[in-house]
Amino acid sequence: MNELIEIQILYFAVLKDKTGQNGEILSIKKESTLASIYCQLQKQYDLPDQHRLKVAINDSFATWDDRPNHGDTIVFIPPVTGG
Amino acid sequence: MKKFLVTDESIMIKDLLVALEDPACGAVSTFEGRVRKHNKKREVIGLHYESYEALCLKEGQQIVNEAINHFEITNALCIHRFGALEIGDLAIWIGVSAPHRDASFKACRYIIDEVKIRLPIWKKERYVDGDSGWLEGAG
Repeated sequence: MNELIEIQILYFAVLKDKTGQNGEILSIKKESTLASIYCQLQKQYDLPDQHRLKVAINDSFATWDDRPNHGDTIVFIPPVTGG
Repeated sequence: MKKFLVTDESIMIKDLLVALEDPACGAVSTFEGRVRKHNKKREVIGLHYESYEALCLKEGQQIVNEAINHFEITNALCIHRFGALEIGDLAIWIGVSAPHRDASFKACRYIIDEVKIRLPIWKKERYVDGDSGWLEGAG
């Protein structure tokens, strides 16, 4: 499957600092998992290990095996420090 | 009524307490989280909270609803600041009203504990030496 789809990534906190941006549009292979997308970004920007993060699609928590659809918004969530 | 809110303005407790009032409630427990001037032996001059607001509002509402369902309480409210805060500023306020004190204490504790591990908000501390940094986990 070489069909490409576009997704939006939003960055917060340490990920925003590491990437130097609030977000970006990515073209990815259809059927890519969130884990594989993060793995690519982790190498590109020297991001924290995946096991310390959670992930969301369209403002709902998702799992790393989930496969986003065209137009989805993805947020990788570093360890939270509210309260 | 929304039971979880975020704001970039000072938290006004008076109105929140009024919202908790109920003649059937003999107990009101509140928790205030405030900005302290030190963390891990470093002197802090202020901090900045960044929130993933859309998910924060959903998850915060879910946490408060869980407290209402799990404990014998009548009302619960939680509000979290984001943006720039100074030492002593109120960062989070939680209020719970219940017929009896035990449930109000427990529900208040449940909400702050869950907020600490689940709410997508991040804290960046500013230090007296000019350095700053994101904290790395619930604490």
